Amino acid sequence: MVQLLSSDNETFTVDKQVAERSILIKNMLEDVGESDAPIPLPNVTAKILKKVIDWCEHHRGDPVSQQEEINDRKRLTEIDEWDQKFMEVDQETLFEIILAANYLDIKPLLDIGCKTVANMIKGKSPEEIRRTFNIVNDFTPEVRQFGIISHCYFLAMLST
Amino acid sequence: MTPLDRPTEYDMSEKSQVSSFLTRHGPIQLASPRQLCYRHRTDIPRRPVADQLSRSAAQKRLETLPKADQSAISHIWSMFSAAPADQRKLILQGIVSTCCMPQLSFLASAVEPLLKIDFLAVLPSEISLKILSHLDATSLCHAAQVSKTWKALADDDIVWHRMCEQHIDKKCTKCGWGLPLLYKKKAIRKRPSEEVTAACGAKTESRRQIEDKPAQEAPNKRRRISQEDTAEIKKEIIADGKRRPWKEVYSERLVVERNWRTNKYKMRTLKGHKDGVMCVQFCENKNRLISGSYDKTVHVWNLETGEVLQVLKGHTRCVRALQFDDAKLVTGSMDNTLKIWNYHTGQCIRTLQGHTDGVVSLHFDSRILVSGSADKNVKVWNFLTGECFTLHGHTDWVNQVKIHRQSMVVSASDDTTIRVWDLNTRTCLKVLEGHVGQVQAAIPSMHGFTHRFMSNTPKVVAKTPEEIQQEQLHGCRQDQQQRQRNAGNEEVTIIPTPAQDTSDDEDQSMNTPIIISGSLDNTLKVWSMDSGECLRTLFGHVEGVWAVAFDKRRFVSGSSDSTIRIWDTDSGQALHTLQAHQKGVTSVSLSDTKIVSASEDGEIRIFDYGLQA
Repeated sequence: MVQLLSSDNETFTVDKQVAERSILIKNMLEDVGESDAPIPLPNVTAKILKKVIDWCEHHRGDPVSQQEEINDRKRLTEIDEWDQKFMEVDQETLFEIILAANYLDIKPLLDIGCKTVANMIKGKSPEEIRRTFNIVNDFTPEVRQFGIISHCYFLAMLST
Repeated sequence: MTPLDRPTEYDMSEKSQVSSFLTRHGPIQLASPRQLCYRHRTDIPRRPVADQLSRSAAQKRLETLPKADQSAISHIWSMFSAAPADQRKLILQGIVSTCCMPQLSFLASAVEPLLKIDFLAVLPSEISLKILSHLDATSLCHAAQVSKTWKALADDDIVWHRMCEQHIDKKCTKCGWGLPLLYKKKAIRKRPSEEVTAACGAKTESRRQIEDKPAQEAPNKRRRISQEDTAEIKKEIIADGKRRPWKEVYSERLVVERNWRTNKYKMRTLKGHKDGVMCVQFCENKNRLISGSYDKTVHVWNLETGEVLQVLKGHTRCVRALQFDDAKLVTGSMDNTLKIWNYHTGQCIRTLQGHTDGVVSLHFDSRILVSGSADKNVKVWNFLTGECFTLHGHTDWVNQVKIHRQSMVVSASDDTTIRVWDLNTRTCLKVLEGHVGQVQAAIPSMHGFTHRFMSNTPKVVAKTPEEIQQEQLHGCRQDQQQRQRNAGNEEVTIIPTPAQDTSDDEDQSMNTPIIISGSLDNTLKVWSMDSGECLRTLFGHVEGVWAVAFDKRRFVSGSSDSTIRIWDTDSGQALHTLQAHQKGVTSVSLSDTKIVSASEDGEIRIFDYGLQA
């Protein structure tokens, strides 16, 4: 068992196998060796850490060695159902999960996070994207016009 | 009574409470700038907040209130902003519990947009690019119009490089689209003389590798090829001094692919032969097209201008087959000989004699030359040693021969079969039966070719050598399709490979080798090279199929019904029919941008799907 300490000082006890889904933790454990002291994770709050642990628990059996290859092949395919449910969270949580996955070095989780955001972008018009993420259109009118023309050309090519 | 319902008069003791609260918490909040949340980061341009929630608007409304109320409210604000996170939550809990419906509605609508995060702008750029790399081209273009930050990311070379890698010279496993390589033409236009020849050499070499490299290199080959190819494109991009953005590279290829899909081409006709043209091959980076005809001559053309550069005379009968590379041209004729030419000078270097009837087909790689003849035999000539041996087995004309991965030969014959030969043991490995007419063309797939032709039967029934022997003795011909027979050598046992690779659920496309054949029974057939099974029959031509060509994106066939058909490699549907020739189409040749066809009407036609100036 491994103890993890969140940034807001909450301790989580998890299986070593589960914790080692995180390459960061895996490397730490290898460097430090067996120890009872909790591993501090100053960049992850308890709320997010709990989510991440849930994910690791569910995916504890996934083959680790082939991760890279599987990701490569599945790169553009859909997210599996459990993960999709898992990612049905508000944008802030999603944002934090992505950051945590990046920090903890859990590639498959980072990948699912990225795909989730990609799916939020896919198939939307620029204005719809702006609305989805509350973004200001900061192009100057001229650039905007030019951009629209060149993109229309490109899109016209894509649409057939 | 909750504290918030109190009268707005404050006495000294309350004021001191407030200030002590502020001094206790304020500095802590200020001391930890790392904890600036997404909302309060200043580096992100934000959509102007709805009027009712903007700080200045709130300030203005505050100023309209009586002095006492003003100070009370600003105290609430400052206390809230000084409070640590958990206490802020507590304060809000209190406030929300006293809210009436209209205030909650106000909160809900005001808060909703504020809970949104501009992921791409705030995430580390490598993650943002990772997100974008999951998008298709259309979405990327939309993303580029969102904001300046998004544009910078969505037009990023890394993202488009990935798009190019995924699509150029292969089929994207997700969308099924593939884009052409196209770099050769550029090379010839932008760089003169010796660099061109270098590029030419490199290309032929890599083509050869793709088609003929032995099987043992297969596993890693896929990735390597794409790297080689993108490296080639890179070379091209850097060639004109400044790098071209990958997005541009992608879009250019997209235009060409779209031309193919919508069948938008420019056609040119080359006239010069005095009789039917039987064979044709062209090379864009050498800018040459060579054709052989019933008029006994071989014409060397300038592909771009259509000018005749050489007329090679020497054969005494119809020229039926030809192939050329950088240095040499090999032709096969009904006068029973093969000739090797220097097509730059027009000089005949050597004449190969051996066949006892007309030479109908030929194919060479760097080491060997294979020829198929009306004398029913396949001959294999070694360029280096001059040695020659014969593969016996076909019982009629051998109409096409193709070397596959340097160690095998695929042959198509008028005896309605296709045979696969092993060059090392010099034996016939498989006989593919299924066509009910003479087989005019049979071409094995090049390396990196992916397809979705599934095996219908889960397992191929193996035949024991005894059974095969029996069959041969009795000469019985079953009409049953998808049958294997060992003919050349009784000792070789056929070990059929059950179509294991086909049970790949995740990725529907496979790279198992296939053979595509065309026959005078008006059909094209797709065969599994491993099992010898016929995977698909393509119907459409109304007369015999004379010629087949294909690349990773499409099949092209020429028929005596005088049409050329373009087929979808996934669905097996005929996409387009090109009706231009007056008589039967005898030969077709295919590149990333062109189809060239030869016809009995004596004309050669070039269908150009490339970028039109």
